[in-house]
Amino acid sequence: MPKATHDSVMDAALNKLAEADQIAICSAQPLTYYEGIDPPAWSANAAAALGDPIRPTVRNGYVYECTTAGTTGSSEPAWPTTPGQTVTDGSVVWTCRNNYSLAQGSLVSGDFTIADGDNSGRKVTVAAKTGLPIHTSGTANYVATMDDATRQLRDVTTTAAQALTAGGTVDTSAWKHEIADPT
Amino acid sequence: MRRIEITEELLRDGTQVYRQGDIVSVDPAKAQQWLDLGWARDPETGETGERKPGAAPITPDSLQQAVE
Repeated sequence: MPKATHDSVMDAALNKLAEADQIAICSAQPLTYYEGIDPPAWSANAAAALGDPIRPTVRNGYVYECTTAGTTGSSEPAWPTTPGQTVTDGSVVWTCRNNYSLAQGSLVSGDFTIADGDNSGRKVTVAAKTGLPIHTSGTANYVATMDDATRQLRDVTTTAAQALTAGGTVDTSAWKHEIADPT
Repeated sequence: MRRIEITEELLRDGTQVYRQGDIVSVDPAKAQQWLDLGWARDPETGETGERKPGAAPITPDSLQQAVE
């Protein structure tokens, strides 16, 4: 009897990829959600929940994960730039995380199409995106998708090295993630 | 290696991050690329290129994985 996996099994995995709601162009390979995300800027007297990400109002190349929930202070703290270091901000404690994002945009369910694979199995196609704002200059080498709700990195792929200059936008072409039939 | 001064507010090179005013020594090819892109200037000659915000389109590589 030949080996087989039902399409629904592969589709379940592809549907997890299709839950992503953010796409990021990165200078290095992100290994965590925090390394790929471009979070909102810090604001005063704001509630922060455990795991919330934030960035300084003046970007410094790092992001900060809320590791003690609370309310931010009335003035912006001095942000540490050593990953793992913490800073207290009102009743919130932020922990410094590496971040490699150069440009970022949103994804919606309509950006994903699940169908038979080109070679075998099943695939999800991520639609082309236009006008992703570039917030930091650098050379792009990776493209990542992330899910804000679960704060998970969902997929990472490579791209040919490409210079991105802040203040402009960048387009991405469609790409596919295929799960082959078992052999 | 060639010394250049970063002119971008923030510049990422892989996992490295540089800020405006940083003086860095990088290999000559990379230095010339950054000068041409207007991301840096030569502190001795003042050489720098025209900064053009934006980028050429990105083509993410498709992935294929096996069920093992």
